[in-house]
Amino acid sequence: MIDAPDTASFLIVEDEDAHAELIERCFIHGGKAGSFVRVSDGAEALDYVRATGAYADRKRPDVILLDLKLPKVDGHEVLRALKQDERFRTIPIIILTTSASAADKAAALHNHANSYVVKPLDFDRFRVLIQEVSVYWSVWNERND
Amino acid sequence: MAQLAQLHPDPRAYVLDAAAPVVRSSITARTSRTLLAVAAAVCTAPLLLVVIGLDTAPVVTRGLAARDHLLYALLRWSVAGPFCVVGALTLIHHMLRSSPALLALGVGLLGVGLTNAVAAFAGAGIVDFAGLADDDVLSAWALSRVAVATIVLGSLLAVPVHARGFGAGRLLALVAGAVAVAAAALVVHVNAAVPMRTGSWAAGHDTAALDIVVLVLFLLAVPVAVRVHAHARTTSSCVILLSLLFQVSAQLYMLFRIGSLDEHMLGAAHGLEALACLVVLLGVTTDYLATMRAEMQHRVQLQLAVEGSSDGVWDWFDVDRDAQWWSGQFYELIEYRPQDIDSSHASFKTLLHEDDAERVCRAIQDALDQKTPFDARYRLRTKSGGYKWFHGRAKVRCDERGAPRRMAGSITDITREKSAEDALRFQKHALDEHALVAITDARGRITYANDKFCSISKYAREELIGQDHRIINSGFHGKAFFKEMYATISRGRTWRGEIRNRAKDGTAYWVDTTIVPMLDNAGKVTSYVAIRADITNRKQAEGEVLRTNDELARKNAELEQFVYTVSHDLKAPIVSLKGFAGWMQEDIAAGRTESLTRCAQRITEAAQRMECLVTDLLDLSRAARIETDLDPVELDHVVAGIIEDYRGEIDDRGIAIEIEPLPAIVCDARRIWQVFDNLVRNALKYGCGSPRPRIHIGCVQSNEHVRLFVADNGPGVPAEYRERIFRLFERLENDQDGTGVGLALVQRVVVGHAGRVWVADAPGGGAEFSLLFPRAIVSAGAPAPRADAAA
Repeated sequence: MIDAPDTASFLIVEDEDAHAELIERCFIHGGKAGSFVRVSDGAEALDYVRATGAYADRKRPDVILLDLKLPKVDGHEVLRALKQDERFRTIPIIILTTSASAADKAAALHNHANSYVVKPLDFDRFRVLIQEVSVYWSVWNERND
Repeated sequence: MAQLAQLHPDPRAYVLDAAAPVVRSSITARTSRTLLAVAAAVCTAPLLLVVIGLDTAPVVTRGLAARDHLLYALLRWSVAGPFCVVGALTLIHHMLRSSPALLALGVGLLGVGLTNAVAAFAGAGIVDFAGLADDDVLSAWALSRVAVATIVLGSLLAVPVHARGFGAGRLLALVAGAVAVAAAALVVHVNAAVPMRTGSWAAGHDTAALDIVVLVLFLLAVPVAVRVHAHARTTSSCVILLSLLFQVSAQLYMLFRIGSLDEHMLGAAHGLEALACLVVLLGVTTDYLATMRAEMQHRVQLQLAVEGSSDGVWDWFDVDRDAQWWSGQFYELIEYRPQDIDSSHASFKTLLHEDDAERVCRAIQDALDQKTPFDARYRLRTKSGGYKWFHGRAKVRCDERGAPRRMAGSITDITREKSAEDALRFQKHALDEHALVAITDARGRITYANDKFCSISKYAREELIGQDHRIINSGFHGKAFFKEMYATISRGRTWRGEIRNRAKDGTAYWVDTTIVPMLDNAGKVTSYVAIRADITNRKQAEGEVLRTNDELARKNAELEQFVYTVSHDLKAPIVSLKGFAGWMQEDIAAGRTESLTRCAQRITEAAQRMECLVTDLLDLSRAARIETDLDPVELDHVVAGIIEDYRGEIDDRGIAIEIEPLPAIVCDARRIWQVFDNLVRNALKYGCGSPRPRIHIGCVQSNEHVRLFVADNGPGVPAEYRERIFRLFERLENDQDGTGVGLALVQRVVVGHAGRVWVADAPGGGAEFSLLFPRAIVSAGAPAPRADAAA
C-alpha cells in the first residue's frame, strides 16, 4: 500500500485475496496511481468508511471499489448503507463484480452506485479497465475537490 | 240365462229398475185425456141409447136372444185372447226384469184368460162339462172378473210410486181386496149350496153379489191407477186407466140389468169388458214394441261401441257362478279364439302374470266386498305365451239386498305406454345414478331434488325443497357470474358451466351444471331443471396440476438462480487464473523473476479452489437426490468414523469430543455421512478457537421428533447470519478454504429426509447445529417385530 496524500485514495472491498492482489497490481502498474486500502468483507468496509472500530484514524476514501458478494454484510447492503448516509453519499462507489446479472446491476444502480463494472475474464481487459477506472475517478475526484 | 246376458253386455241395461212399470214408452197428457174422454163416451153410449129409448136389441140382444152361440163365443174369445197374450208378454218381461210383481201379474192374467176361454167353450156348447149349467158358467165368468179386478188392483199397488202417505191407502186397498175375495168365495159357496135356477140368462141375478165385489175392487183400483199414471205417464198406465173405466162401466151394466133391458145390458157389459181387454192388449203391445225397439237400438249402439273400441269388454253376469262374457276385442287382445278358452274368472286367473295374480285377485275381491270400482294394471299372458300390460276397470252391481250380483268392465292394452314408461323410468334411474338433479319453479325455489343431490349437498330433501339455490352458494363465484347465468336461462336458453357449491357441513364441491328451462306453450319459463355432475375430483386434480406447475416454475427459477450463482462463483477463480497468468507473461517479458513464484502460487490456489467448487457442487447436486431405498443407519458408527478421520487434528489441538449414544435412523447413508462430516468440519474450523475447545454431539428424542445436534464452544453464529449461512456460496468468514457449499448441502439433505436444520447458541456459548427429524425416521432396529409376527 502506497500512501500518496496528494492523490486520490481508493478503498477496495474485495473478499478474494487473489482478486485484491490483481487489482493492486493493476493500480501500481497503471501509472496514475493513488493510495489504496483493501478490506475483505462488508462489515469491515462499513467500519472503515465510518471510521469506527479498528479504523478510527483512517483517511476518508475518495473512491470505493465494491464487490457485491461479500461475507457478513454483502455489497448491496454496504452500498445502500453508504448512499443513505448524508456524510458518505458523495463518495463515488464503483461496483466491481464477477456478476453480470441484470438483477444485481439494477439493484446496484437503484441504490445509486456510480458505476457498475463486470470483472473481465481477460487479463488485458482487466488491467486496462482497472487503470481507466482509477484514472477517471482520480480526475473526477480532483475536479470536485 | 247366459244367452240372455249375451244380449245385454252393457251393465247399464240393468239400470232399468226391476220393479219399474212393464213398459217405458210415454204418452202425453193430452193424448191420455183424449183417450179417457173417448172411453167415457163409449161406456155411456149403451145407457144413452136406453135413456133415449132406442132399441139396441136388434144389434146385440137379438143375437143373444136367438141364442147366437157363435157371437157369444166370439165375445168371450175377445176377452180370453187378449188376456192370454198380455199374460204371456208380461211373463217375458218378468224374465227380462226379474220382477216378482210382473210375475204375479202375468200368471194372474194368463189364468183369467184361460178361465174366460173355458167359459166361452162351455157357453158355446163346444165343450160340455158334466153338470155345468149356464148359471155355473155365469158364476165362472163373474169369478174371473173378480180375479181380474184383484190382479189389476194388486199390480197397481205393487208399482212403487214413492208418494208420501201412500202406505196407509195401499194397506186399506189390500184389506178391501182381501175382503172382496173372501166375499166372492162366500157367494160361490152359497151358490153351490143352493141349486141355481137353470134356463134363461136373463133370469140370473144370483151373480149380483159377485158383481158388487168386482165393482168395489175396480173402484178401489181407479185412484191407484190415477196416481200411477200421474207419477209416470206411460202408455201402459194410461191403458190400465182406460180399461178400468171400461170394467167399471161393464160392472155397472151387469148390476143394473132390469126387465126387458136385461139382455141388452148384459150384451153391453160383455162388449165393454172385451174393449177393456183389447185396450190393454193394444197398449201393452205398443209399449212392448217401443221398448224392444229402443232396446234394440240401444244394443246396436252398445255393440258398435264395444266393437269399435280398442278396449276389451267383459261381463261377469252372476258372481256366484263362474261364467263370464268376453267381447270379441277381449279375445283379440289376448290373441285367443272364443272356442279356445272358457270365458270365466278361472281362465282370467290363469292368464294373469304370476307377479300380479295375488294383487289383482285381492283387488277384485275388495271391489266385490266393498262394492267399489275396480281399477288395476296387470299383465295377461297371450296365447303366444308373451305378456301384455292391461289397464283393467270394472264396476260391481248389487241386488236389492245389497249383495254383489254382477261385475263388468273393460281392459285397455297399455303395453306400449308401459314400456315407454319403463324406458323413461330407467332413463331417470340412470340419470339419478350419474347426476344431481334439481327442479325449481320459475322463481328459483327448489321443488324437486334427487337422492344424489341430497347426499352430495348433505342436506335432507325437506331442507332443500322450498329453498332457492343460495342455500348451496359457496360465495366462490361473483355476482356477475350468476347474473349472466340467470340472464341466459330466463331467456329460455340452456346454460352450462362449472360451479363451486357448498355442502351443509361447509365443504366445497364442484359441479358441472346444465340448467334447462322448461317453457309453456306461450314460451314462458315455468320451471328449470338443473342437472349437475360432481367434478370435485377433477377440480382437485386440476388444482393439483396447477400447484405442481407452480412448484415446477419455482424449481425452475431456483435452478436458474442456482446456475447463475454457480457460474458467477466459478468465474471468480477464472479471473484470478487469467489475471495471474497474464502478469506472469508480462513479468517474464520484463525480466521480473522475483514475482513469478507468487503468481504461480496464486494460479495453483485458484485452480484448487475451482476443483473444490466443482466437487462440492457435485455433492450438492447429489444431495438433492435422496436414494429411494433407505436403510437403517447406526449414527453411532457414522459419527465415530468421522471423528476418526479428523483424529490427528483433534489430538493436535487438544479438542475434547463428547458423543452421546445416537439412534439408528432410516436414511440415505452417504448423505447423512456428508451432513455430519460438514458439521464436524465446521465445528473444527470455526468453533474450536477457544482455549479449551470442545465438540458435543448428541440426541434428544420426543414422541414426535428426534433432534440431533452438533455443538461447539466457539464464538457462535451471530443471530443476523443464522439464516444466511445455509444459502449457497454464503460464507461467514473470509477464509479461502470454504466454498460456501457445505451448509447448503446439509440443508438439502435434511430437508430431503423431511427434516429441518437450524443453528442456535449452544448452552454455555458456541454454536449448536440442530437437525430435527420426524420420529418415524428412527429405525425400529432389529427385525424383532417380524419374528414375533412369524411366531
